[in-house]
Amino acid sequence: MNDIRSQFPALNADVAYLDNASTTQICSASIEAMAAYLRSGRSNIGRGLYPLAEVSMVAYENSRKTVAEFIEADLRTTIFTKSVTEGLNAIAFGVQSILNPGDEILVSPFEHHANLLPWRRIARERGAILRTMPMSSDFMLDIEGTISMMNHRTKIIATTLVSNVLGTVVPVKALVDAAQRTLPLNKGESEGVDKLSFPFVIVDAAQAAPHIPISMKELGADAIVFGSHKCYGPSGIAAMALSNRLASIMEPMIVGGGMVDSISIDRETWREIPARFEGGSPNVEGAIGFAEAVKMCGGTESEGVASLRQSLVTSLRTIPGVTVFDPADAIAIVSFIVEGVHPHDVADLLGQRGICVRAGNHCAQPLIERIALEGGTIRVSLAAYSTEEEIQKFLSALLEVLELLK
Amino acid sequence: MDYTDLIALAKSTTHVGALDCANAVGEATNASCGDFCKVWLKIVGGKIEVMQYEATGCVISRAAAAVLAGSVIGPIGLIGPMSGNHIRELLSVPISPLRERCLTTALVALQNALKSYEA
Repeated sequence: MNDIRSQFPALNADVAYLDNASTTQICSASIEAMAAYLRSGRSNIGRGLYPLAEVSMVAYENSRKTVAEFIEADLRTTIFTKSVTEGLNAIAFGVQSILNPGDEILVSPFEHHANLLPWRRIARERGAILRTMPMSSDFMLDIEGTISMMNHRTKIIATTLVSNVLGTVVPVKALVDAAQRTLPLNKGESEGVDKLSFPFVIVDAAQAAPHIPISMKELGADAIVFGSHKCYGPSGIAAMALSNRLASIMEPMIVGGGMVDSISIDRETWREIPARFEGGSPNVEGAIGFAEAVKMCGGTESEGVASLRQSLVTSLRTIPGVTVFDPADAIAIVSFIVEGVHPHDVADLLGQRGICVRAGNHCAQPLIERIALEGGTIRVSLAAYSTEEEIQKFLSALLEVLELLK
Repeated sequence: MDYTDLIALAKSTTHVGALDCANAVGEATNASCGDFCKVWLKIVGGKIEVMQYEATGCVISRAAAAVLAGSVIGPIGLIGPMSGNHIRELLSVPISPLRERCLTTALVALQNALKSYEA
C-alpha cells in the first residue's frame, strides 16, 4: 500500500481523502509526463509543419492509443473531450436526428445528471419519450423489467456502468444482448446491416474506469465515456469511445478549427473521425497525463478496495441511527444516512477534522428522490490508495461528529 | 460562538411556528441542501414587530433562521440590502463559502415576505 501511496504526492497522513468518486488525487507519473512535455516545448497539433508540431502530434496520438487500449476500443473512434459531460452531450447532440416523435430513450434510474439531462433535452426537442428503467428494492437494476420496456421505438439506451451514489454495477452486457435479441438486425437492408435497427447503448463509465476492467469489445456498447480526473489523471480531459455504427451517423456538436476538411462560401465537409469530433485546439498535455494515469487503473489493487469497502459497511452498520445503502454488487462507493442528522452537517464537520467525504444529491437528484432521501446521502468513495487507517480515522471522526450533532 | 452554540441555536424553539397575526409571509428553498424556510412577519408602521419561522434542513440554515428572527425587529428598509455576510456576523462562526445558500435560505424567505408585503 505504501508503494501505491508514494506515487501520489498530494496524499499525506493528516488528511483522509475519501471523495474519490468526485476526483482522485493525481499520480506522479501523470504529473511528470505532462511536465516533461511542457518543459521540452509544446505546439498546437494538426497545424504546424515544424518538428515540434510533429512531436506534439505523435505524443497526442500515442496517448489516444493508450487510452483506447485501456478500454479495448477502436483507436479510430476514440475521441478526446474536455469532460464526461461534454462527451455525453456530444453523443446526444450527434444522434438526435435519428429520433422521431414517439421514439423512446431508456435511461437507468442511477444516472448522474450528465447522462440524463442531454437525453431529456433532445427528447423534448424531438418529441421523443424518455423512460426510466426500473430499480429493484435492493437498489439494483431490474433487468427483466427493463427488457420488457424495450420495443421497436427504443432508439437509445443510456446507462452508467457504476452508480456514483450507490456503487451499483449495471449489467451493461445483459442490456446490450437484450437489445440485440429483442430488436434484431434487419438483414434485409441493402447494406447488409441497418444501423438503426437496434438501439444504441451509451455507457457512462466515469465511476467504473478506475476500478474494474472495461472492454468495449466485450460489452458491445456503442459508446463508453470516462474521464481522467477520476482515474488519477489531470482534470479537463476525458475520452468517448464510439462504435463504428454510432460514429458514422453522429453529427459533430462542436464545429470550428481542426475538424474541417474543406470549406467554401456555402458548404463545408468534415475531416475523418476522430478529428471530426475534436473541434478546437486539443488539450495535448492533458491527453499525455491521462494516458499515464490509466496505467494505474483496473489492476489488482481493486481487490483491496473491495475489502476496504466491506470493512467500512460492516463498521457503519454498528453505529446507531445509521442506514447504509449496500447493493449486492456495489463497488468502491458507500452511501449512508443518519437519522435526524443532515448529511451536509456531517460532511462539513468531518472536513474540519481532515476527512474529505461528499454529502448531498451527488448530481443524481432523481435517484435521491426515488429513494426518498431529503438532503441526500453521505458518500465515502475509495481509490487504489485508500487505507484501513483512513477508514478508521473516518469512523472515529464520524462518531465524534454524530455525538455533537445529536 | 462555536459550532456547539450553532447546533444549540439550530435546535432553539424561540420564534418557531406560524404567526396568526402575520401580514407578510415568505418562503425559500435551497435545493442543493434540501433546506426550507417559511417566515411570518407582523409589520406595523414600516417596522417588523415580530418574526416567526419554520425551518427544516441543515444546522447552518436553521441556526441562520433563529439568529435572524431574533435580530430583525426594526425598519423594513434594512432588510433588502442584507446579504450572507450579515448572517455571518450574527453567527460569528467561520462558515465555508460552500454553505452560502444554507446561510441565506432564511434571509431569502424574509426578503420574499417583504416583497409580498410591498407588492
